[in-house]
Amino acid sequence: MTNKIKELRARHNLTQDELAKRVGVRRETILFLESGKYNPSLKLAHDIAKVFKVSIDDLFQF
Amino acid sequence: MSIKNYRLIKLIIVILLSMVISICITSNNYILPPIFVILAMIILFIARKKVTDVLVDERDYNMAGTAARFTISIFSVVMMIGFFVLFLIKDKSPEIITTSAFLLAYLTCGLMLLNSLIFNFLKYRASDDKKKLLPRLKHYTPLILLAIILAFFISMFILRAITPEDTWLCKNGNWVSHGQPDSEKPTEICK
Repeated sequence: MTNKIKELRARHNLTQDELAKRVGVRRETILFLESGKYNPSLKLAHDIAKVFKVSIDDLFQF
Repeated sequence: MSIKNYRLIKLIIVILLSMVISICITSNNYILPPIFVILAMIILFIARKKVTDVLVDERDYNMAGTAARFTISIFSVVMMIGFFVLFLIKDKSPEIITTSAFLLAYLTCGLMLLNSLIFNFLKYRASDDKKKLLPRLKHYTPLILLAIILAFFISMFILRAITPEDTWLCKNGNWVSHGQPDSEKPTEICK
């Protein structure tokens, strides 16, 4: 599973820490998500998609 | 409070607590350590509440679950090996080693039972069949009670069968036979 979190985060001028605070996780989790080493829960995926105002399908590619 | 400060407080408390506990134990004081442990837990709980950043998230819980599974598996295997090893060498000091072996076995069973109970409780709590399950449980209550009573009597019977009833007992500095023990009177001093 790949994702566009890093790309969207750069587009929204957000740091990993800022994004982590917005979705209520630790910065390391964002780091692991971006590197594809962690599969998020549906809730976290939804929260991140909400921050970037995109759909989960746009954010994650299977 | 930031996570950094919280971790610093945690580290200081752990160091202080280990120092206090070791001092208390070396001076044969066994009342103060639990008090200090509870005090430390309260301080850490309050400090944790003051942390504004996220301390643990879903990734940590996932890893904790995996770690717990591995811990239980490894602990159970090690304890079972320990149980058999102790039984192999039990002739050296039968009473202490047999007691230790059974303690290991019961601790392992207790851990697995507790894990299973918590797992099933969480499963039940998350289940949609809660309403269906409760009347069903009530329906089976007499059967469950009967099974518990039966299990109790069977375990008592097994315990009675495997534990030596006929043995030597130490009474007022003398070895007194209880029943008809197979072994000779112990040669060690009876205190």
